[in-house]
Amino acid sequence: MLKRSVAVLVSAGVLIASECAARELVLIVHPLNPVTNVSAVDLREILLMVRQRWSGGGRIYLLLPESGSPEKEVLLRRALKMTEDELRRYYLGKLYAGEIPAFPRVVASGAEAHRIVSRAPNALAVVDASTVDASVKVVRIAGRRPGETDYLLTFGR
Amino acid sequence: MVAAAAIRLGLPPSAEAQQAPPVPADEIEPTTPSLVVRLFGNIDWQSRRDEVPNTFSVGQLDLFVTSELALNLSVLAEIVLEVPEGEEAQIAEVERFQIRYSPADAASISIGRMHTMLGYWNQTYHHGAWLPTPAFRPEVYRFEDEGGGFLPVHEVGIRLSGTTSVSPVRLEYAASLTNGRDVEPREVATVQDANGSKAVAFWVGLSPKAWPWLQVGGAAVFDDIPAKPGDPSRPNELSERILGGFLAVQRSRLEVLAEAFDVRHEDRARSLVWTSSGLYAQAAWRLGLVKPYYRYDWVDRDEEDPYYDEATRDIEKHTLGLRIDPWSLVAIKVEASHSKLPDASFGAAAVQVAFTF
Repeated sequence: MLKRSVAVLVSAGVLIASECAARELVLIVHPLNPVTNVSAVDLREILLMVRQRWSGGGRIYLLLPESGSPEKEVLLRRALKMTEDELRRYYLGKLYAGEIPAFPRVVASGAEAHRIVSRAPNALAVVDASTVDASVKVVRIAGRRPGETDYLLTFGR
Repeated sequence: MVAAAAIRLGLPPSAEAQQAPPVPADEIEPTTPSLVVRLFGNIDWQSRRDEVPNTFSVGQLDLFVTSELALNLSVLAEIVLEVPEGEEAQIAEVERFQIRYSPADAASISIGRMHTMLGYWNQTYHHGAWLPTPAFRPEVYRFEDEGGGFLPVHEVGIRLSGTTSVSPVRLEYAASLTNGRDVEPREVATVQDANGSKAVAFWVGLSPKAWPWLQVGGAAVFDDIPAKPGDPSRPNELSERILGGFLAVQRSRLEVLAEAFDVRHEDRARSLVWTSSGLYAQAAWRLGLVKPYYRYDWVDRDEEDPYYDEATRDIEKHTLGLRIDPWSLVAIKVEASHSKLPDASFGAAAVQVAFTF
């Protein structure tokens, strides 16, 4: 118990220090969701709704930040390498081809994303790392955690 | 703070995180039934350097509706209001009407009237003029009732489709069992098949995961076209075999599309075979709001083929154009083309305003 508390406190210190250096986005899922890591390719395919199911078969309920928000801008630039217009056009194309029944759900805030993800094991949201609380689990991207070198979803790069 | 740090570092979640009973997101945020409505429209001006006067024309008004009826079950309808070529009265036509059950990425079942998966363009763009870069569709994909019929661009039946990861590529596939061709190339057997045999179609597309902007693939369609009573050139059923291949590059700036088809009709009873070919290749390069493009169209119909009528024409066409996207949902396309038909050649110019809302 003591060892775990010390480890967490040290880790929290590392995290806080790393956050001072760079703001980051994180992928959050319900704590019961078994996924702990996604590759950069997986993330791209999930965001583009090429992949619409978790490995276990349940539908991925994707929650995206609002258009024009700094979070959305990072997602577009770092994970998708697309502009907002290109992504809108892409989703319209998927909708028109009958591959998706609707655009992904957009959430106005990290709090709203937490409210859904903390109750739904099939939900996945992208939120500012500074808003993460204990009700959700952070998923590693390409094996890297927030704060680590070459973490994908970093502001300002 | 400590708990948050633990979660963020991938340590096991605390007990408090698991207190709320988990439920599917769809129950927290009900998505069914939902209704998504989009409209696509275009207004054109066209001028041909022959005896046809230049004209403004109202293009298709495409009402696109999709709804998720239940988890994994959705319906799609596409109704187009248009004035057919050579007529003045506007008609409404149900172009697509399909219900889709998709329990997994790897397998979805659709039933209804659909866009035949022949290559890339037909299921990607089809009616919505705002979607593709150029103003008009490739010659091989002309609609059945607008001088087309070279390819069966609509199908009525059942389709199994899906996508899966076959490292290092993403594989998409479709297999259809449909009514197939009607007696005339300009018709689609929507409510009654003209013969009992069904068309079988297969389509596959491959995208390297490292280059998701690239897709290559092909299709094969096998059908028996009904005989045409009263036409001495069509006393028997014709076996149809369509083979196609495509390449699509969709990058932020660069767009390259190319598709080629070989259509073989055979009257087995008389041991007669006719072969026709068609292709198009287009390239575009985006420079900010402006996107210059070029397309080459070529259709070579076997003149002796008894299935195709005069409306399914041979053509060689060059199109040079400029697409401008001044607003995200509005495109202005300006293009010039030169067409060479068996008995004539002419130049043409067109301006199209295409939009979606």
